[in-house]
This record gives sequence, structure tokens and C-alpha cells, in this order.
Amino acid sequence: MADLPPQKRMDVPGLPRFALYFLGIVFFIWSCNGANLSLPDLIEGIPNMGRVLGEMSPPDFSRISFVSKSMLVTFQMALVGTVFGVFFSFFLAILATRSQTPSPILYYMARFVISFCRSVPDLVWAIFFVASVGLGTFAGTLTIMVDTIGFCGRFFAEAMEEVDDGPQEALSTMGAGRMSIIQSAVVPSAMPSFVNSSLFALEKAVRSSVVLGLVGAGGIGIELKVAMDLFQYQQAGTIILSIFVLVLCVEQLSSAIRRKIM
Amino acid sequence: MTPSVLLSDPEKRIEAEAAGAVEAAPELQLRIRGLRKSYPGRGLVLDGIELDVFKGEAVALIGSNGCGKSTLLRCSLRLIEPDEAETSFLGHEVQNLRRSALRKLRAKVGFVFQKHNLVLRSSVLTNVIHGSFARMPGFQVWSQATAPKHIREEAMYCLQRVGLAHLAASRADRLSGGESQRVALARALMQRPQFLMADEPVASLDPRVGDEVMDLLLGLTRQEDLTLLYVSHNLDHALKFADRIVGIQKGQVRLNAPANTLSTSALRELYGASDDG
Ligand SMILES: Nc1ncnc2c1ncn2[C@@H]1O[C@H](COP(=O)(O)OP(=O)(O)OP(=O)(O)O)[C@@H](O)[C@H]1O
Ligand SMILES: [Mg+2]
Repeated sequence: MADLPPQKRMDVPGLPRFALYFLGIVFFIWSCNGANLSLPDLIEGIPNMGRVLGEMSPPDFSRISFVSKSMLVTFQMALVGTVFGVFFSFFLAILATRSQTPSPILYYMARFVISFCRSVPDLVWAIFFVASVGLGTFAGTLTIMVDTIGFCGRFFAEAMEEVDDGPQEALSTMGAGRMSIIQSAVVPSAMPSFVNSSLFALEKAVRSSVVLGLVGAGGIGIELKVAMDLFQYQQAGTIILSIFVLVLCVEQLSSAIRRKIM
Repeated sequence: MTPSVLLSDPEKRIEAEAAGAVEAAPELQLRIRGLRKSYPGRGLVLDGIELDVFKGEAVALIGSNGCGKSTLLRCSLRLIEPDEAETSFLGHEVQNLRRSALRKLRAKVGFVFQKHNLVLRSSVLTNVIHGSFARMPGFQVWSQATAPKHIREEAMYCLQRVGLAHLAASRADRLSGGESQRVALARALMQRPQFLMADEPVASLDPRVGDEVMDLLLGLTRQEDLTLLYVSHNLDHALKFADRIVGIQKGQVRLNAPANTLSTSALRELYGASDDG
């Protein structure tokens, strides 16, 4: 007990650390410049924002049935993409879990696939799928599936990594095989986490399915773009309002499910 | 000792037994010789363990913290690989077994853990049904919903044996400590084991519940004609719930005697010098 190490945080920062802070601040200031921050532009833009918003109201509900149908398709695309994504994530995540993977090679391969799916942004995937399977909702569904794999694959694997290994040891002592141990000890314990991540993935998918239309991957996005391009702001208002309603509904639904499961 | 010719020749043995000349010799179910095990950075934990356990016996294994009791139990089923050992367990030469044969052997041994190790978010019945993994195609007994009727009935029967049939539908994380260890015991029974092993089965239970669980463990061992090998730090339990007590010190068996010839003070000597650190 005699010689405790001196408390590090109380030290005056040394020169290298000081230099590092300084560089960080300099880089941030430079970045603000790169981001083109400009207060005058913002102030000048405010009336325009007001004008656009003003022209959107009152929203034009004449095409509401068409918009709702398109919204439904958008949601269906998000749902189907998420469900398939969750399905594939589950198997990839088993390979990507250190304690469950059958071999280190598969572990690294699965990790790589998951990180790759995650690090490429969804709009880039959408452009890729539009180019390969053509315009429309199928490209969007694939995009959402891949995006979900990047997201859920990681969180599923983390959840399985954290599961208590006592029950697993007990089952293997009783002569259970690897798949049985995963199904009856790992999955039940990780289930709340799986459900939670999947619901987040669905929320994320609904939001991104809205913009995928901008690159032709199906859904409501394209209608919004057309309306804006043709200065039909009242139509655009309707679309934005219905996007808001959809996202809100999905979020409410998913937190309701979450409350029930946890 | 009975002449071994007599025992190895079945006909002569039956004659001899009928004449009351020999007592039926108990079957040697577990025979460990020269078990050595070291951990990296810890050196030799077990240094030439010899242990025999006969059918129908209840043997308590005692020794100070860190002397290697858990390691010994695990090495006997190769849940941990020993450095060196000659183990014959229920007629299998454990060191020679391949993976699948090893799984079959493990299935015949019910193992009860200190932490109970139930799957907490599953029902009690599902947990008990898991005991049948070794004899059923895995996917059928992942949970109670998919298990065939005769398996569910057998699991209910095992729960009855430990007095918890009324909790079958509860989730395992709703149980008290004593209940949860009894469920673990029912799960071990579901294996239709020939041998029970337990590593400090009542260490997390209060004294009264601990006694109840030990009573149940020994009772079931007797009723089902099983063999029991368990680790305990409770010397009164060792004396009360075992036929024989085996003490380990410095990696070797230092004590091996019938429980009714021992006293608490004799057992305390084992704890003189700590093996820890
Ligand atoms: N995986 C491991 N790696 C390294 N050392 C280990 C490992 N497992 C056990 N040990 C060491 O081996 C020794 C024996 O451990 P073991 O768990 O068998 O003792 P024990 O007799 O069961 O003790 P306790 O009564 O506390 O349960 C201990 O000193 C422990 O630190
Ligand atoms: Mg131990």
C-alpha cells in the first residue's frame, strides 16, 4: 500500500499531449471552413425556407390514395428487406461470434462481410443494385437487406458473445451438439437483444426506404423528388406529412413490442 | 479379498454367490490413475491423482480452495483435457475416446453445477427436457413446444421426483435458489444417468435448503441405484451425506476413508496448509 502510483489525471499534460489537443482544434476549425459554414447564407436562407414551407401548406390531398399506396409499398419494401436481413444476420452472426464459430477462418470472413455491408452507405448499395437488377422496389429491398445485415450482424454477434456460458457448458456436458446448444441456450438468452436490434433495424429501414427512391430503388422517394422538381410544393407537403406519419407509427409500434418483450 | 478367478468366471461366481460364499463385488465405475493437470502460469494442480468409485457409492470430495477438485471432476469427463491420465469410466477408456463416444459417455453422467446453469429465459419444463439431448435428435428437444409427448411426460416425471411438478410452466429465472438447483437435478435425471457428479451443489443455498437439496441428491442416488461423486466445503454434509470421503491436498489424494470412521476434526487437518496461491 506504500507507493500508490501518482494519479495520472492530476498531472499537467505533457508537451506531446498538448500538441495533440492543439492539432485537433486546428483540424476542427479547418473543417468548419471545408463545410462552408456561413452565417449570412443561413440568415438569407431563412425567408426561403419559410416560403417553401408556406407553399407546401395547405397540403394537397387530392392524390392521397396514390400517395398512400406508394407509402404502403415503401413500408413493404422496408419490412421484407429487414426480415430477410435479420434472417441472414442470424447465421452470419453465429459465424462471427468468437465462442460459437466453427473455425477462425469463417469467423474472420463473416466479420468482414458484416463490416463491409455496414461501411458502404445505403445509397451506394442502392445505386449498385439498381444497376444490377434494374429500377424498382426489388433493388430497394436488396439494399435494405444488406444494410440490415451490416447492422444486425454486428449486434447479434455481440449479444451472443455476452451470453453466460454456464448453461452452454451444462448442455455440452449432457451431450448436446453445437447447433442444439446455440438454439436452446444461446438464442433464448440473447433473444431480447435480437428483438431490440431487429426493431431498430426496421425503424432504420423505413427511414432509408424513403430516400432510396431518389436513386430509383423504388418507394415514395421518387414521388417526392418529382413533386419538388415540378414545384408542386403542396403535393410534396402531403408526401412529407405521410412519411412523418409512417415513421412515427413504426416507432410507436416497435417501442410497444419492446415494452412487451423486455 | 475374493480370489479374482472366482469373480471373473460368471458360472463359478453365481454358484459361489448362491452358496453365500462371496458377497457380490461392487462394480468399479470410475477408476482414475496418474491424473496430472497443470495450467499455464499455475504449475501442476493435480499431481498423480488416484481415485476409485464403486457402483452405488456416495463419495464426497473435499479439500481447500484451489486444490483442484473442480479440475478433477472435469478432467474425468475430459471437459478439461488432463495432461496425463488413465481413466476408466463406466467401462470406457476415457483417454482413448473420440468426440462422439465421449459425448455418449458424458450423457450417462449427470453433472450438477454450483451455479445450477439453467437457461434462465426458458421454462422449467424446457430446461428439464434438455436433459434428453444425447438420446434425441437435437431439434426435437430444443424446447418444450417441439418435444414429443413421451419426452414431455418423462420430464414431468423427473420434476415430480424433485417435487417441483407444479412449477413446470414457470420461467427458470423466477425460481428460488433451492428450486433452481432441484430443477438442475431433474434435468440430470432426465439424462437417465448411471452416475451423478456435483460440484459444490449447495454452496449458494442457505443451510436449511442446502440440507434439503443434499437429502434429495442422496435420496435419488439411492432410489435410482446411482453413484454419486460430489465436491463440498461443508464438512458436516460430507460426513452426513457420503459413504466415503476423499480428501485432496497438494495435488494428491491424502485421505480416503469411510465417512463413519471420520470426524470433523480429522477432516479439518486437510485444510492446514492452504493450496491457494
Ligand atoms: N482455466 C484455468 N486457467 C488457469 N488456472 C486455472 C484454470 N482453472 C483453474 N485454475 C487454477 O487451478 C487451481 C485449481 O482450480 P479448481 O477450480 O480445480 O480448484 P477447486 O479445488 O475446485 O477450488 P474451489 O474449492 O475454490 O472450487 C486453482 O488455483 C485455479 O486458479
Ligand atoms: Mg471448484
